[in-house]
Amino acid sequence: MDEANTDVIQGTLDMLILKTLSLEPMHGFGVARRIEQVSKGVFKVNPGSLMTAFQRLERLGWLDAEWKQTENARKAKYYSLTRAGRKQLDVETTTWNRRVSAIARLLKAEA
Amino acid sequence: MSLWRRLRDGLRVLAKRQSADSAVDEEARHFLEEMTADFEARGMTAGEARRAAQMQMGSVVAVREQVRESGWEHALWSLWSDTRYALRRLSRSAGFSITAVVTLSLGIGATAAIFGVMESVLLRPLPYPESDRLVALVHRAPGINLEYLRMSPSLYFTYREEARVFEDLAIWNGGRATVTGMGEPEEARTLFVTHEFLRVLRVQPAMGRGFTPTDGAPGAARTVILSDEYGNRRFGSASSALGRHIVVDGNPHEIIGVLPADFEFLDEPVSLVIPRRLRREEEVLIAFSEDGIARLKPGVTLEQANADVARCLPLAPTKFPLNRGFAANAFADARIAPGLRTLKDQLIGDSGRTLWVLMGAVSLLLLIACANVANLLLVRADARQRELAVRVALGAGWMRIARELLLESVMLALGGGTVGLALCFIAIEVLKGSAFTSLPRLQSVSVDFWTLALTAGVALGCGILFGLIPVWRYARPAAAGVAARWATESRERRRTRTLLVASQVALATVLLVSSGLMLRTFQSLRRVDPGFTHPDQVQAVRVSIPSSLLSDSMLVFRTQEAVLRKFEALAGVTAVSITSSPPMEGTARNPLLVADHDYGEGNLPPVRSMRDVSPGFPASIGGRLIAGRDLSWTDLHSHARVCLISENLARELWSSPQAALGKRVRRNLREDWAEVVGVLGDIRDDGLQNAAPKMVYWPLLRSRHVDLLIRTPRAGSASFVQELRQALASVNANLPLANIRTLETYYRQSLARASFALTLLGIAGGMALLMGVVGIYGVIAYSVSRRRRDIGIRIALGASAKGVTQLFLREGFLVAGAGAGVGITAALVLTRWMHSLLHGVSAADPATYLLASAALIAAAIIASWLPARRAARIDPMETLRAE
Repeated sequence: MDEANTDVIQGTLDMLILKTLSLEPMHGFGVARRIEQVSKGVFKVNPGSLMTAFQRLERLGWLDAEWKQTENARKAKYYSLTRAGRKQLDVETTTWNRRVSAIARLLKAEA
Repeated sequence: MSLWRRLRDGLRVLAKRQSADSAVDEEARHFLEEMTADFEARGMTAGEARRAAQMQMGSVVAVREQVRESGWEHALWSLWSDTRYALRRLSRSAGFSITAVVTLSLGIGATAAIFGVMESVLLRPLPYPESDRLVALVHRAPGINLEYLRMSPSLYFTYREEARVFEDLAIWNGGRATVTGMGEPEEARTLFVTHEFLRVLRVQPAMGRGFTPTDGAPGAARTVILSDEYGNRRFGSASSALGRHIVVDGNPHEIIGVLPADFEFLDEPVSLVIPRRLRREEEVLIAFSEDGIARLKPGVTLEQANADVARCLPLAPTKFPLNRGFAANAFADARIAPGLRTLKDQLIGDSGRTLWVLMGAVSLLLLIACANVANLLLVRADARQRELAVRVALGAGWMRIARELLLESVMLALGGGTVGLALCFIAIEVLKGSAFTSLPRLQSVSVDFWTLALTAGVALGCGILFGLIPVWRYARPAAAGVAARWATESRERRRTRTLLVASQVALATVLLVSSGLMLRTFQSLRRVDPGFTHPDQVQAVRVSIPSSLLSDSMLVFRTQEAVLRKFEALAGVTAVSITSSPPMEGTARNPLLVADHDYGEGNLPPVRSMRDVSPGFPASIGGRLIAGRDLSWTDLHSHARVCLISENLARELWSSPQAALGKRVRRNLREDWAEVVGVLGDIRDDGLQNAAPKMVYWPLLRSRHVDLLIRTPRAGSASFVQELRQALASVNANLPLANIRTLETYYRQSLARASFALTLLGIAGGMALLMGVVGIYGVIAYSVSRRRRDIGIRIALGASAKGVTQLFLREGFLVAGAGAGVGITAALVLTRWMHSLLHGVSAADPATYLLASAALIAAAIIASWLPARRAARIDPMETLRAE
């Protein structure tokens, strides 16, 4: 366990899941691992929160779920992005970028 | 789209909770395995990897719970499980639950039933389109002291020609017609109407056509519209009746239409509707024996309509000739004024007041029931005090505990509501079946949507109301802390309970006082001398002789006399008479001129009630002949100008019955003076609660529709009626025997309102008393159980058993006394609304108040004596050891 691990920033988990799934359909652990890897271990995803988020996103119509065989021949629930999900990802990315640049500007001005 | 998905997925989870849970489990388990595999791939041993993965993930069950709680269905699920928990807890204490449910069901059921009646009778609109525009054409005539004057054909034409506020108007008259030519002659209830009648109501015949102006034209072919029931009964089916002819009052009428099956009109029984054939040129000014209805133009108010009618009234004398023999300014002197009212008000009359009083009574009962159950719940919550305190200490939120307590009370209330609804259905059926009610529209009373909605609302409201009291005590944010310290029996809580019981007693006092007042009213009405005796032994039957059967009026009288002789000869008959109207069934009213009284130039003499009778009238009803003699058959046969008057009229005019004999009176200037030959005891013709009208009895000569009054112990029996029918047929086979009843029927009807209110208030009062007693018993018993140690010490220190008993008796007495005190004050204010129901007793009758509160306090003392005695028997050693 890396001490540098932190929880995902409040409110960004949905976006991270959508982004991860925009590349290819994945099962739950796959998403968790990908987020951890790509963030170079900065973000640690709690499994309960992740699965709750899956259920929520699925009900919002942004994800589809399907039980499929994994590469090591076990059944797993694979999630994929729907068209609505893709649109939502765009919306959330834009919003996020706007916020980040705003915060960045603020921090610069402070300095 | 997504809302739909959320709903669908949630429902799916609810429907298949097991499989939904196992899917989540499966996913979580797979997650765990993948993570383990991942750790292994990074070089851990299998055991290490598993442990690490489990540590990171937590238990599968926890994950499942987390996922589960995120959906909306979870809230529903937990509510459901809390509900089940509440039900389980309630079923474990069945005694408490049943008591609460029964108490509530009585309160809710009574409220729902009375509301159902009120809704159907008072609030529901009449069954015609835009019925709020329908008005009854009613007048007042202060000049001749008449508060209620009906319609005349002259005014019908006047309004039709002059009034600007009516869209349509009609006059009608409810009566009877004789139908012959189809088996036994039969008297059919008939509405005689002008041709606009159905159009005013906007009622279309279910079959055939309505009336047109032609149907009302004199000389046109006679037509009739049948009720659905009559068509079915006489012709097998309504449709086969259409186009056929029936003989009504001796004339063939073509059946042109059949009314809808659900047609109703002002509670009038209707078999036939026959168009009036008025001749405008033959009408005279004063003939107020019609009823009128009209439909107002849209947007016209009652005030505007009254104003317009007031404008039209003076025009009538310019259009129609004054009746012969009437004083020239009779019409103007009567000072006829409009008194229009909505058709619904006309139908409801003053029964609204009775219903409002009853509604008030059952609302009080419901409050008492709620207070009772709130008290039970408080005791229950007290017993759970430790459990609640522990839960609060373990971190249960007050919201959660509040929800639990509320759910419990709401469950009880819903149970009470359900049972109450069943009671309400039964009560309404009983009410509709009982003949003693005089309510209008009674047969249309039903439990409808509004009643159901009110019952549900009241039940929920009660549940929350009395559920909030324990919540307030135990589960509000601040109280949770107090409960956690579970102090000994707090003074505050006891005060709440005592307050609840005292208010119960107060409410019960109000109900007992009002039922007491009603009882006194009923007694006083029973004591009123109606002017006749043993009404159950007087058989009344109606015999109508249509002019088509016998045109000569002298022959009509001879036939009536022949029928009377036949009836007299029947076994067991002691007296028979003929009258234009039996006692209590309404009389004609006309001005009476008195020979030695001058009412001033141009002034109309006052209106008196009038009735045509044959000799033997006093004997047949068991009335008293106070002075002079009865009419004789010789008087009738010789057309002697004689009459009888009532005692109160004699006293008014000549101050004593004896002095009235030989005095002369007449109805109008055309006829000769008639001599008063006898004075009869007053008859309460306008109902027992109203003063007896001043009455003149004229020798029966001209009436075609008469009632025969037959005094016999056999009255009302089927065999006797059969004999009457045969006797009538032996005189004339074409005469029907109609409207068969005893005098008792009308006597009872006159008591109906009082007995209806008395019965219902009595039931409410009885239940209130019972609940009050149970409430006091509960509080004292609980107080005893909480103070066992205290009592034990007192007894150990030498307190006598009597002293201990008195301690609790005093407590019960104080609670009841305080409650009764408040109740009496409230009753003094509230019973003022009962004023119109009372007779012979004041709304502030001291005896009733004294008795009601004495009864309550006595009951309270008995209720507290039982637990108090138990307190006195407490063994001090036992209680001290137990601590």
